[in-house]
Amino acid sequence: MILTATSVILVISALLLVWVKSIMSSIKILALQSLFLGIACLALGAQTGSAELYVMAVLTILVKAILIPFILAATMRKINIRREAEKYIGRGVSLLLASGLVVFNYVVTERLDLILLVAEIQTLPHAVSMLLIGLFVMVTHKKAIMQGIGLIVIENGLFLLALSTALGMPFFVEIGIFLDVLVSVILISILSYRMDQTFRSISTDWLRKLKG
Amino acid sequence: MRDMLFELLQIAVIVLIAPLVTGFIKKIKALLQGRQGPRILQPYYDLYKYMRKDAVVSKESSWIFTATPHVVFGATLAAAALVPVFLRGSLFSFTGDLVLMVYLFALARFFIAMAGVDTGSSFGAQGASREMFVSSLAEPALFVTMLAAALPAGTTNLSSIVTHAVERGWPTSPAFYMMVVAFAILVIAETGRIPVDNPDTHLELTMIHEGPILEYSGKSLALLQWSASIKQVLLFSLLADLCFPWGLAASADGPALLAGLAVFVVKVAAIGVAVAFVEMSTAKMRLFKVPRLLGAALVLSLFALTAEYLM
Amino acid sequence: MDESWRVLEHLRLWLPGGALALLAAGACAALLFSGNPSIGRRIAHVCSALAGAAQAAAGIVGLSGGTLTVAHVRGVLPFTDILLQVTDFSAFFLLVIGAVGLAATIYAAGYVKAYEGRRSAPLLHAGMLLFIAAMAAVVMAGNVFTFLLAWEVMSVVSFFLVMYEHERPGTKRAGFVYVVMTHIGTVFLTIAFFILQHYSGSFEFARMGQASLPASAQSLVFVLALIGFGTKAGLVPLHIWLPRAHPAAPSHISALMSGVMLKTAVYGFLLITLHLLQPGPVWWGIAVLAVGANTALFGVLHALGEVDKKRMLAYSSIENMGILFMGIGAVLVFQATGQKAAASLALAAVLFHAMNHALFKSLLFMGAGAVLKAAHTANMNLLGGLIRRMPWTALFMLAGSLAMAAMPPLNGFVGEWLLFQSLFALGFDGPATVLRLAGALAVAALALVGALAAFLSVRLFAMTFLAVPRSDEAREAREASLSMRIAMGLLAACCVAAGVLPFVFAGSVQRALERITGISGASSILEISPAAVGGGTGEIAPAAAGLLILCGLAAAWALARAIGGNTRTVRGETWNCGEPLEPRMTYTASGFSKPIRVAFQRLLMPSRVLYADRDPRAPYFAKGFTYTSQLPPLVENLLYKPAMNLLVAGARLFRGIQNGVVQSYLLYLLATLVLILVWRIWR
Repeated sequence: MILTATSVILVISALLLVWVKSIMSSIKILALQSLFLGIACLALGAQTGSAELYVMAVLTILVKAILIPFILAATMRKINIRREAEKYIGRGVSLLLASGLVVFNYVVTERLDLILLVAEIQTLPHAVSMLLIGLFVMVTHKKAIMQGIGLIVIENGLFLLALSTALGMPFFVEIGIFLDVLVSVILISILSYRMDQTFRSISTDWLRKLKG
Repeated sequence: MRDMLFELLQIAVIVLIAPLVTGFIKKIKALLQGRQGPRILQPYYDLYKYMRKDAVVSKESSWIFTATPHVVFGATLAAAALVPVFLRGSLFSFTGDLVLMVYLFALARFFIAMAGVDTGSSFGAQGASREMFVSSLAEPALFVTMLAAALPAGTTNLSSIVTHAVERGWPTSPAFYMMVVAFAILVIAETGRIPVDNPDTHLELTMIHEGPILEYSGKSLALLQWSASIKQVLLFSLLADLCFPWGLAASADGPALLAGLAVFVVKVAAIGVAVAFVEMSTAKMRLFKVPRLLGAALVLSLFALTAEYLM
Repeated sequence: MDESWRVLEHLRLWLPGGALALLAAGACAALLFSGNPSIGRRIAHVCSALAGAAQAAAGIVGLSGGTLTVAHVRGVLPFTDILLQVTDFSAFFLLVIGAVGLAATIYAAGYVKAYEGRRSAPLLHAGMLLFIAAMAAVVMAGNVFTFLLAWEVMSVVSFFLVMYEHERPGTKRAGFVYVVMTHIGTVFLTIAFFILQHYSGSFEFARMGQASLPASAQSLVFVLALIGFGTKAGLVPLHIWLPRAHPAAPSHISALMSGVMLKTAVYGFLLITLHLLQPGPVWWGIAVLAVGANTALFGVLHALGEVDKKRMLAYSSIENMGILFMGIGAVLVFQATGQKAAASLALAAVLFHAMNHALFKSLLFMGAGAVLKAAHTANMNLLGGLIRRMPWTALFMLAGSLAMAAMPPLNGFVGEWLLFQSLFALGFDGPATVLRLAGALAVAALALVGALAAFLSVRLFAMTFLAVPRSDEAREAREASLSMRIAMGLLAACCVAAGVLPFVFAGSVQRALERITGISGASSILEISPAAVGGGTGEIAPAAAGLLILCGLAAAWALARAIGGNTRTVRGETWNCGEPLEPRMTYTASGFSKPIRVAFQRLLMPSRVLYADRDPRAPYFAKGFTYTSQLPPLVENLLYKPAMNLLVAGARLFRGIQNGVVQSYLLYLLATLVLILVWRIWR
C-alpha cells in the first residue's frame, strides 16, 4: 500500500518536472523524488525484513537525494547565466503529452499479464511512466543539465519497477547502477561546465556539428 | 648394344646432315631468284672457318655468354635423341616425349635470349625480346597441334605416335590436312624463316633469331649456327614423322636402315623445297602482324582437333 | 623392423606438435628478450629452424599414411575443441611448410640485420614464428573451429608483418586492402563450413566427409569455398591485395606468404572439394578450369608489365595459382566423369606443382630481397650487371628462374609436364566432345601461360643480373651475406633435386594419392619411380634428360676442340654502331616486354602519356619530354571502384539519421520503446 502511494507521488513529481521553468526547481523536485523513493524502499525493507533493501534505501537517499542534487546545484552555481530550462515545445503541450504517456501506460499494463512478486499491480504503470517521462524530459530540453536530471528520473523509475516486481534487483547490479548514474551525472556536469566555457551557453544546439 | 649403336648413328646423321639442309635451301632460293647462289656445301666450310678463328668476347658479358652455345648445342642434341629419324623407335624415347622436346627447344631459346641481353647491346636485347615474344605466341598453337597429332595414338610419346601412324595408313580426313598446314606455319615460325623472320640478314628490323647471336664469333658462333641447323632438321623430320611417317625402318637391320635413310633425305629435301618456295613468295611480316599468323595456326589446329573429335 | 616401426610411430606423434611448441617458445623468447634483441633473435631463429626441420620430417613421415591425432584439447572453448591431426594429405603440405620455413629462417638470420636498430624488431621475429605456426595449424586442423582460428591468426599475423615497414609509402594501403579482402574471404569460408555442419551434424572434418548433401547445397558450398579460398589464393577478380601486399612485406615474409600461405588456400579448397563434399557435377571442374586459366593469363600479362621486381613476382604468383587451379579443375572434372585414374594423375600434378612453386617462388623472393638489400631498389630499370657483383645470388636466381620457366631438367618442368599430361588426358579420353574441347583449350591456355612465364623469367634474370649496371647503387652492390646465400642455395638444390628425382618417396606418394582419390594401385595411370614418371599418355625421365643435355654439352665442347683446334679469346667492346656503350643505351625491362604489351593491348589497355615541355617562344623545339606508360589496374577500376561508390552512396543515404542533435537520438529511443509496447499489446 505504501508503495502504491509513493509511486503516485513519484509520478506527480515527474509530471511537475515537465512543468517547471527554472533548473534549480527541477533539481529540488528531483531531490524530493529520490527522497520519497528511499523512504518507500525503507518501508518495504521493514515489511519484508530484508537487509539488502535497507542498504539500498540508505544508498538511494544518500546518493540520489543528496549527493547528486548537490553536484548539479554546484555546477549551476559555477554557470551563473540563464537559469531557465529551455524547451523545444511549450510547457502546456509537454504536460499534455506527458499525461498522455501516463494514460498510455495504464492501458498497456492492463493488457499485459505479468507475474509480480509483490502483488501490487498499481505501481507498474507508474514505474514505466516515470521511465518514459524521464526520457521525454531528455528529449524536449535543450540544456545539458536537464538531460542529466532526465537520466536520474529514468533510474528512479527503474528502481521502482524493480522494487514492485521483484523486491529489488540483485545487490551487485544495484551497486553498479548507482555507480553508473553517479558517474554519468558527474560527466554531464563537467560537460555543461565546459560547454559554458566554450560557448557561453549550455544549450545542446551548439553540439550539432558533432556528426560523422 | 646394337640398338644403341644405331641410335647414336641416327643422332650423328642428323648432326652431320643439318648444314647440308641449310645450304640446300639457300641454293634453291637462289635458283628461284634467278641467281647462281652459294654452293650447297658452303655451310660446312663456314662452320670450319668459324671453328678455327679466334673469338672476340664483349667485356660486358659474363659466364652466361660463354656457356650459352654449349648449353644450346646440348639441348638441341638431347632433342635430337628423341626424334625418330629413320628408325621407327628411338632408344631414348623413355627419356621424354613431345612436350620434353618442345621444352628442350625452349631451354635453348632461354639461354640465347639471356646471352643476347648479356652483352648490353640493344640489338641483342631486342632480338631476345622478339624471340621470346614470337615463341610465346607459337607455343599454344604448337601444343594444340601436338594434341591433334597425338590423339590417334593416345600418347605423346614420339615413337608410339610414329608407329601408330605408320600402321594407320593414309588419313583422308580434312582434319589431317588442317593439322599439316598449322604445323607447317609453326615450323616456319620456329625455324625463323620468312614470313616470320629473315635468316639471311642482320638488320635490326629482321633480326629475331640473328639478334642475340650478333656478338658471337669463333667456335661459339659455329656451335650456334650448327644448333640452329640441327633444330631446323629436327623440326622438318618432326613434320615428316607426324604427317608422312611411311618409310621409317621398323628395326635396325641394314637394308631397312638404308631405305629409311633414303626416304628421310627425300622427305627433308621436299620440305626444304617447299620452305624455299614459301620464302620466295611472301615478304617478311611486320612483327606485330605475326600474332595474327600464329593465331590463324591456332585456330586451324583447333578446327583440326574438333573435326577429329566429331568423327 | 618392429623397433623402427615404433620409433616411427613416436616420431609421427611428437614431431608436428613438437614443432608447434618450438615455434611458440621461440616467439615468446623473442618477445621476452626485447631488452636484449640479438639474443631473442637468435633463440627465435634457432627454434624456427629446428621447427622447420621437424615439420619437414613430420611431413615425410606422415606421407606413409593414416590419420594421426596430434593434439585434442577439450574445453578451451565452450562449444568446441581444438583438434590437430596429420592426415597423409596434410602431411604433404606440412612438408612444404617445414622446408620453406627452414629456408626462410636461415635467410632471415642474415636479412633482418637491416632491421636491427628498430624497437619493434622482436615483433618481426615473433611474428614470423607465429605465422609459420599458424600455417602449420591450418593444415593440421581437424575441425572447423581449429581451422578458422588458425586461419584468422595466420591472416592477422601476416597483416601485421605486411605493415611492418609502415613508414614506406603505400604500405598502409597495402595492409588495409589485404586485411579487408582476406576477411571477406573468411566470411564466405565460415558460411560454407556452417552449411556443411548443418547437414552433417558435426564440426569434425572426418565426420563431415561422410555426410551427403542435397545437390543445391553442395553447389552452394562449392561456390562459397571457391570465393573464400580464391580470395586467399589470389584468383582474379579477388586478387587485388596480392600485388600490393607481397612487395610491401619484408622479403623473407614475402617468400613465406607467396610460397606457403597461398598453398594453404589450395589445401583448404582441396579439403572441401575432395574430402568434405561428395563428387559433384562436371560444371564445377569446368568453372574452376576457366577461373584458373583466366587468372593465369591475367597474372602473367600483368607481371610482364611491371618493373618492380617484387610486384612482378607477386603477379607471377597469381599466375601460378591460376595454373594450380586449372589442375584442380581437371581433378574435379575427372572426379565427375568417374575417370579416377586421370583424377589421380591430375592431383599428383597439382600437388607437385604446388611444392615446386613454393620452392622456386620463395627462392626468387629471397633473391629479390638480397638484391634489394644490396642495391636499395627493386626497380629493374635501375639494376643490371649484378652477376659480377653478386655471383652466388645470380647463380641461385638462375636456378629459380629456370624453374619458374619450367625448363628441363628442373622441377618446374616436371610439374608442368604432369599438368600437361592431365589436360591431354582430358583431351584424349573425355567422355563428351565438349569436355575434350575444354581440355584442348586448356592445353592452349597453359602453353601460352607457360611460354609467357618463360619470357618473364628471362626478363627477370637478364634485366637484373646481366648487361651493365644502370644506376650507381647497382654499381656498388655487394654480395649477399652467408646465411642468405645458404638459404638460397638450399632451395636451388631442392629445385634441381626435385627436378631430377621427382618422386623420391614414390611409394608413399602413390599410396597417398590412392587414398585421396579412392582407386587401387593396379589401375593407376601414374607409374612413379624415383627418377622417372610415366603414365598412359607419355613418360619422361628427367634425370636421363639432364644427363643427355650434359652429354650434349660435353660433345659440343669436344667437337669444337676437335674441329677447330685451340683458339684464343680476346675481350673487346660490344658493338654499338661505333659508339661507346652507355648504360642508358641498354634495353630496359619495360622495353623488353613491350611487344607483349602491344600484342595484348585489348586485354591490358595500357596508357601512354607523352608530354613535351615546350618553350612558348619556340614551340617547335621541345625542352624535354616526359613519357609515362603504365598498365591501369583494370579489375579495380571496373569492379571494385563502382561497387565501392555504390556502397558509399547508399551509406550517405542512411547518414541522414545522424543529424547531430542529441535529442533526436533520444527521440528515436523513446519512439521505439512506445512502439514496442504498442506492438506488444496489439498481439
